[in-house]
Amino acid sequence: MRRALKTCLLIIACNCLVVVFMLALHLFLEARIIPSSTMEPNIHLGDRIFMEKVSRWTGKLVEHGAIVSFYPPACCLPAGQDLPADLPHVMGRLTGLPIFPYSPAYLKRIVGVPGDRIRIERGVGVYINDKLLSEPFVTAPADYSLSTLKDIGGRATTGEVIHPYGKSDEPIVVPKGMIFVLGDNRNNSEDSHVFGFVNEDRIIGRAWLMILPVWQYMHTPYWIRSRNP
Amino acid sequence: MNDIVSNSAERMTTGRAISQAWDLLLDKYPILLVAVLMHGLRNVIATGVILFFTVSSPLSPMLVVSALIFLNVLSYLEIVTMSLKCVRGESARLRNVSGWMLTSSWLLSTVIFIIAVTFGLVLLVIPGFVLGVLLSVYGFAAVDGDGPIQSLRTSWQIVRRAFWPTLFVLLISLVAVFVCSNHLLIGMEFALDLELTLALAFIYTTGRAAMKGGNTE
Repeated sequence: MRRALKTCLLIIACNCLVVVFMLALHLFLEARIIPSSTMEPNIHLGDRIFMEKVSRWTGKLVEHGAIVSFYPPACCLPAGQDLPADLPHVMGRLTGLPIFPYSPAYLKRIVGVPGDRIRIERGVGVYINDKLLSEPFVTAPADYSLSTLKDIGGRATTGEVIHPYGKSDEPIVVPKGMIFVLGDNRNNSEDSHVFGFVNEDRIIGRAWLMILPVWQYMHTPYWIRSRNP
Repeated sequence: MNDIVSNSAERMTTGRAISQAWDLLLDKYPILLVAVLMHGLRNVIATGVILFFTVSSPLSPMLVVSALIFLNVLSYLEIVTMSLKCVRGESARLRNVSGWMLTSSWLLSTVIFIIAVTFGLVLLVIPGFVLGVLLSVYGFAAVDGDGPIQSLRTSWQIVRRAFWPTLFVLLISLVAVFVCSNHLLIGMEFALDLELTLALAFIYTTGRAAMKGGNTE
């Protein structure tokens, strides 16, 4: 009986140890498996990527061309409800352990930082402050146009049609504390052209290293996957 | 644990090594887990600091991975030292390593071990496994003061006399890790790693005692 009790205590202590390790590790790094093709042709389905979180402390988290992972806005989550704040979900987000519930995250490229005026022209590309962005990392330009806030919207992956800014005729200027993100696979990506700006607080980390299927350093602005690794 | 030490010259079997290691783990797990926790946190924080200062450099992945490997090898040295003390019934403290000589000797023997096993694996796989088993207790010999080459030689001599028990201890531990990959038992990997280290410590202690006693079996 005493032996069984000791074994139970050992298992509990070991599980606590794993939680503590993962909490500590997740202060700096987080592993992600890519579940979609929205960042093609640079990030493929099933790629394994490490996101780093220290850029938040060095002030290099939000940069043009950086690839970041973030929790999607509430309008893109089921029933329009924000991320659950109960302890198991919070622990899941803090540790990434499979014993806790999973919160989905998106991986996109930052196109606009606070103060930028964004315009997208169908078949041409993205304009930042009226300058056409050079996008060698994109295979095809967007087949939609955006010039005012009312143009932002569309069908989210939840199936709902959303228009986060209603019928506002204001130009698309990224507010303070927000970012404008797009998937590299412009025409097959649920990104800021659907759900609008993303709060910087929802950013999890910045892409740092791809480990599978190829080893590639990703922490450069406008990173492009090497074609002959 | 005194009975274990006094019987150390007896022949070691797989069952005996595993059951004694498990009993010892249940007895000593608080201090062993605290040691694992301290080393793990030290390694994570060191990795974070290196990442913080190098994140913008393309060299950062290599630096971080190298630091992680180096720190984990050092941590394993301390866990091996503690395990050996536990098996011998000595008081295991949280900090056992002393001096650069032991650390450098340990690192050198680890590098030789990795090269030898990798070379063996390249040569039709089986030689690599056999070498891995034969050299599996080199760490304990290094802690006992053997130099890099001598510790590998000692491991070879000890495990050659108890090859099958050592092989089965390693295999059973691997299977146990696989079985315990269930989400709710995710932490058991730590316990099984410690149990494996203790079992190898028993095999080493028994073999070393037999060598000293001139027991050739």
